[in-house]
Amino acid sequence: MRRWRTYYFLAVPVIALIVFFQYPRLNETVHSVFSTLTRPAFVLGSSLRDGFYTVRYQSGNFLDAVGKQKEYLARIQELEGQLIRFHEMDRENQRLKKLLNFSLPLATHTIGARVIGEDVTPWKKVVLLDKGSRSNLKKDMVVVVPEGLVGRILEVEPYTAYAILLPDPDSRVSALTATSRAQGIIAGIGTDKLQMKYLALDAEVAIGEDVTTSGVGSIFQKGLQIGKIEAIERDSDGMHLLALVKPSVSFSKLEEVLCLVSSPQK
Amino acid sequence: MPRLVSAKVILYFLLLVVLDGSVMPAFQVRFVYPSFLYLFICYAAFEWGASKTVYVAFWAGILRDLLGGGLIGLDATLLVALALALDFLVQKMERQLPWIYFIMTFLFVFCAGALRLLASYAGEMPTSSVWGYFGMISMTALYTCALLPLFNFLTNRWFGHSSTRQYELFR
Repeated sequence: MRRWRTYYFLAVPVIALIVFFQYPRLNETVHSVFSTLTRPAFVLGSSLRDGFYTVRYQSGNFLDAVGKQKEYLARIQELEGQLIRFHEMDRENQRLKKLLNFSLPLATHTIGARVIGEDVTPWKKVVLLDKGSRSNLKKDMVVVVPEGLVGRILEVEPYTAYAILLPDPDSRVSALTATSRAQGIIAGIGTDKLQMKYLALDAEVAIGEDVTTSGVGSIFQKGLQIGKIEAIERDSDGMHLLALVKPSVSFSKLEEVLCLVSSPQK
Repeated sequence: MPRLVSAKVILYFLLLVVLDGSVMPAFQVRFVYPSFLYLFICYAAFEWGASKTVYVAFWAGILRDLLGGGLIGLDATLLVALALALDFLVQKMERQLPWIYFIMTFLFVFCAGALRLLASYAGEMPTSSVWGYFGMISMTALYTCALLPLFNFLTNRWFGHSSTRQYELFR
């Protein structure tokens, strides 16, 4: 009898599954309650994780830097020279834009958030942020870091939010190659690489070319950096090219992100 | 063996969820990191017996569902079904065989990952990515079962070692 009771217990999650499938609002409410209640524990956990990240990556970087000190000093001098030239170019660019009555494509406001949790399924790339609707986060807000596009807000709770990252298999972004101006769709494959699909067969895309958001028919504004093309091959359907893209953002060590509140003009 | 509805068990579940969701990503190797919730189910199967394993699997599944932001009950159903299968195997297994606990844990985590993948993308799975996903699942299973001794040690310390499982003497 006791043995059978364990088998009967299988019915409990099945019933829960059916109920939550039937009532998505209930599903959302339970998620919201859970994430609100466990938020302090996850914030604590993420501080611990940041500590481990620091030890893991910074110690390696430090040893590497000590070994390459001379090389770095020469590089810094070279970059400083370039920076001065870029400042000059930037000023000139601003003057010209003003002259042509262009508006700068910059977000007017952003909200910073910390990554406090991650989906435990290996190929899913959904993260939990420590801010929610109380901090003015909204569904479908674009999430970025200085290196480029991270993803978008998937679900918002009062004190937390779930964000879907570019490498998630359910993530899609319309994109453009920087030099050849070829349009395609960036799709996640659950690994540290992205796929750029539906490139025209005659598109003259090159390896190493930058990929940015195209701003066409999507919530992502134009010009956000996505990554660089690493490999190009013919798609299995034979009608398009498929490019493998290395993202400019390191998704494996994401700690803080920015959510764009007001979309810049396309 | 502790009572399942006790502060000690609830606190341990919370600790494991925070470790899985927040801390373990710092130890990832090529996007793969271990899951302590899976290990807790295996621990319950090896040490506590069927009646407890199913409860542990149910709560571990619910917590994994809540952590991922998806449909609640999906992981719970898969893990309870797998926990029943695991418990059946544990009753029959030859305990003296070296590596048997590692093999069982590896198979459990691999099956849980594979079933989750099938349940998530049934019918619409991109064939080009399938082998990559299975590689990830295998790596997760390998990484997770490698932590079994450490997890057993910590869990024994937390609950106090008291195995109550009775194995069949005659088959």
